[in-house]
Amino acid sequence: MIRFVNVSKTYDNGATALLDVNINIKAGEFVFLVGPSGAGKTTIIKLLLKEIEPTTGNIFVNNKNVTSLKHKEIPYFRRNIGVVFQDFRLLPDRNVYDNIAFAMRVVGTSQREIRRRVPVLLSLINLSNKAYAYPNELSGGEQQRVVLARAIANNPPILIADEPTGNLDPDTGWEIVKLLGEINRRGTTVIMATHAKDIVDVMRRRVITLRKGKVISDQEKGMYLDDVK
Amino acid sequence: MLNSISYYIKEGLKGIWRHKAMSLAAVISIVIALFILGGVVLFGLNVNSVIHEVESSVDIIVFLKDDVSEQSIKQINDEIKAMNGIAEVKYYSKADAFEKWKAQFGGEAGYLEGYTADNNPLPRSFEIRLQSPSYADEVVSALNAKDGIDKVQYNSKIADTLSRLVRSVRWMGMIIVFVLLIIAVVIIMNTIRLAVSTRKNEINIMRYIGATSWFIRWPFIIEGAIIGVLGALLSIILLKSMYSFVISRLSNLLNMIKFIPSNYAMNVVMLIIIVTGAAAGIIGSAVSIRRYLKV
Repeated sequence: MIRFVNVSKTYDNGATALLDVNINIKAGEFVFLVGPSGAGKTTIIKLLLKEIEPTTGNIFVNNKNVTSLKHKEIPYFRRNIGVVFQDFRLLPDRNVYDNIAFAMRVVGTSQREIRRRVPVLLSLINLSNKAYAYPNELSGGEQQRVVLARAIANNPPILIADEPTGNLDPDTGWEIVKLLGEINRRGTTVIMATHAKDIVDVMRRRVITLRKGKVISDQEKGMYLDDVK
Repeated sequence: MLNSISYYIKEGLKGIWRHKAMSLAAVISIVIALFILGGVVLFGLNVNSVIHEVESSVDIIVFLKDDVSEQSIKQINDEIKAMNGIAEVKYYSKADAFEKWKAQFGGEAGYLEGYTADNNPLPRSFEIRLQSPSYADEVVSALNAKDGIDKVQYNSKIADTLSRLVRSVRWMGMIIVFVLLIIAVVIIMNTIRLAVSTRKNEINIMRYIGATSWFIRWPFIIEGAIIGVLGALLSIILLKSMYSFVISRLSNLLNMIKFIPSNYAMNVVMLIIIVTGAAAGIIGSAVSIRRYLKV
């Protein structure tokens, strides 16, 4: 489903973010992307969203070469990928319902379908009673759950979460991870970049460890590596 | 399709409401820019009408020989009227000339002792008003070529100076309006750019969700158009009341100047202002949103 083939990325300022990375993720997998800050996690996510271009190498999503996508095709490509950010990024001037509905309007979903699906999503994230609250009236965990609902509103085959628990306390963080697990169980491929050792160690999923732009370990049912030389 | 058009319009209106403070600031700056622009255009229109008045008051006087028959006078009159650039032709008979003379030198009427309205040495004449001094040369030489004409009186030097002055005043006016127009457009576009930049997060999120450029752009363009037109309408209302007020005050003081009536002048200004406002609003949002769509 997702393949990185010999991907390197050097930024304009000369910093090398990724060096000859090869990753192969199958449909339906749950993958942790771990490593210290600056290891290249965010670069991988930006490349997947085609926010930036690889310096060399190719990236395939759904057997399509992302590197050769035209600017006009990017929006349609991104509809395959739901994104959850560490800093939530909800639209502050719309309530919960409209934030979720917005993602569906963007792809041209009919009003009737929106009215049918948003309540389903709200109950999945357990926020049915806060449909008309604005983001600033919600706790961090609640906001992140709304982001999650928005990310999966259009049933994308892939969900990317960039440190989704980074701004949350441990308990709330766990709620989010459990939701991600639930979404994964329903067939969505989930990629989660994280620092949270406890979560990675308990979940026992595939772990890809990055350091200084290289994949230094890739284990099924892996653990967080503390002390790699 | 229809569904999305109504969505764009709704989003545009909501966008204005959600960002009330920014929209208000934009409208105010548009009102100010367009008010100044409209004020200068109104002033220019009035100057133009005064110039026109002065211009067409330049006369050519044609003195006729005494032996010309009434028949050929009529013919000359028709021929003059058929020339290019003639605003008005007036014929003065011997009697008219006598009356005019009497009126001018009333106290010393003794001068004309012994003469009557029908029997006097004053020549018959035509007074010609031109549409503009630029026709003068043509008309004067055509008149000189005619039979029965004794003398063509025309002060070409004054006319030339006036004509040059008029031309440079018109050019200056046009340049000033043009510069102000550009300034107004720049102010409006800048304000809208500011309004858009406060919403770059919103645009960014839309890009991540997979919104196409036009899906993001349309509501902004509609918003810009509405704000532009709203500012234009307000500045028109303001200008109209100011203009009527100024006219009512000044026309008493300066009764020799005929101001252009409020309604006629406003029509011209309104068109300029609304087109400028809407265009600047639309172009402003379209241009300023572009840089945020690159992600």
